[in-house]
Amino acid sequence: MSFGLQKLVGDSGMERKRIDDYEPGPIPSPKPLDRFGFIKQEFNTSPEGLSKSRTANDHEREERRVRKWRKMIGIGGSDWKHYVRRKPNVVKRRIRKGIPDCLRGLVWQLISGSRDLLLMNPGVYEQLVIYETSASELDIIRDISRTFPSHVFFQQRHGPGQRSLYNVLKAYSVYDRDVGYVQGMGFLAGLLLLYMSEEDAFWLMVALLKGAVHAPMEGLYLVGLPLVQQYLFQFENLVREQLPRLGEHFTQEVISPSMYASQWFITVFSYSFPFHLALRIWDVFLYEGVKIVFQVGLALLKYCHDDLTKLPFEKLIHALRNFPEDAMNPDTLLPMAYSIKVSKRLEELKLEYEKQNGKQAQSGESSGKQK
Amino acid sequence: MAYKVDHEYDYLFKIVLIGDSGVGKSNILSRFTRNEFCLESKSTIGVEFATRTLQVEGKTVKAQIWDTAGQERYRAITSAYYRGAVGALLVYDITKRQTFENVQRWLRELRDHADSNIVIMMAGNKSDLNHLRAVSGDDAQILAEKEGLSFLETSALEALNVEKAFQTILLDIYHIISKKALAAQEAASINLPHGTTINVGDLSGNMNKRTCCST
Repeated sequence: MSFGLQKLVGDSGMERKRIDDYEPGPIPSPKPLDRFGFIKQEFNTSPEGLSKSRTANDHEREERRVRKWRKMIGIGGSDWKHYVRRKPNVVKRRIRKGIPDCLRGLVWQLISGSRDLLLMNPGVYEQLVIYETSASELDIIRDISRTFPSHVFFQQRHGPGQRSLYNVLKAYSVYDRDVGYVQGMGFLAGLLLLYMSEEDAFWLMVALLKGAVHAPMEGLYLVGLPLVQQYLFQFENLVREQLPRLGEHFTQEVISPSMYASQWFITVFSYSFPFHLALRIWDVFLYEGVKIVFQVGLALLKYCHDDLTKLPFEKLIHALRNFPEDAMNPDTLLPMAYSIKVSKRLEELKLEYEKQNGKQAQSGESSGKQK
Repeated sequence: MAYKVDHEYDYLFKIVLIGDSGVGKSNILSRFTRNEFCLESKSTIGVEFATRTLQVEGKTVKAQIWDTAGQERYRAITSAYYRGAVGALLVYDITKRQTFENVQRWLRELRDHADSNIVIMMAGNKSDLNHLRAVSGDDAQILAEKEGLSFLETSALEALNVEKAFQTILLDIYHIISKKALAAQEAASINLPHGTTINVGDLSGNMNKRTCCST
């Protein structure tokens, strides 16, 4: 089948090639990849962040870190729960510094609670993938090649990456037919699949959306996207409270967070942020919950505050979707994010939203029809 | 506000790009605003935004275009962006019948959420894939006439008719605006000072402002 993919690249300066000519099998990959497997782009000066200037010293420090982590986890994660119970703050501190990349997949499964789900549900994933059919199958297929298209694992049509992505998403759409498949979920699944098997990735999706450890995230994808709306409401208020001058500027320029922050929440920063930053955010997100998304969002705005307050509407929107390289360095951005206190206000704003939303749902409906 | 200090244009028109997921909305936008086409584009999550300034009948018109996620569930977020829009480019994929069948549903969306005088252009995209065609030009023309829409087949890939589609929308809007302005002038029996920017609505993305095209 060719779908709409049988096309030549236009005059975007990219290499001309025919996607359709590729059959499953190893694709020739003359393009240089970054250390995460994304195709390097010339205009992107440093897609892999810090790794460029790695010294022997850094390498040694990394090795020591890995050894510490291995000890903490135990064989196959056997000591993990014990360690977390005894020293939760050490764990938190270490996760905030970043989980070593070679252990990331395992640790993510441990901290998200997905490992337990997997063990409690043997054979379920296979059942969902092989025997069930989903109403979302065509929707999923349509988006497969549009999920991390610049990553070598997902690039090959019908290759192992695309197949795994399809399987995980299809399985989830059957597992929870109310959620089904919603655009954005593919980026979650895709990110996970770079660090674990299909089945593990599936159960991690379940853990997140159904709320194994933290509040369930399925509201991000349910009809009406209720949780997206709530998060945007909370975020808008936090901006006004924590960055009043910028908040006022946003009001004047009529900028709403739905114009720039929906993707942050819907894909937990995995859609368009540098991958090394997204991973660091995910480390903390899986352990501490969604508040890190708010904190990182606020930290970005805070970091760029003085520039943003000078910009008129269009430039402002552009700036909010294209943060400068230095703003996205995890080692400066994340400490800034941790220092922003949001937990208490998030709780209060949630209640406020629920109170308002009860009324809004009805009045919004009727005013929408009043044309 | 932005539009008061920025006199680089005479008019600013807000346009929305709508239609089913995967029909090529984002590439139509990038073709029109940056003359780019990306084969490996990601699906749009939420809304995207771009502008381009061009000449319409000797006036400088800035098109402010909002590209929306096509999946039905995203309408919870995207329909807010219809407000204040004076034009819409409703896109379907000529190789996917269903995306054409759904044009009616998109028109209903516009009726429910957009201004009633919104100028609508229907675009059958991917005309470069003629060998996979599933929607005939005649079928589309019939629908367009029935619904009172402009219609063109486009190819974002081959840069075919994309420019023309936007030009047509902008020209139609401009004609409506200038007629209204003229009528208003006559009614008030005064002349607008030369060079006055007429507020045609959503000048800085203000969703609460009404446009002069609304009734």
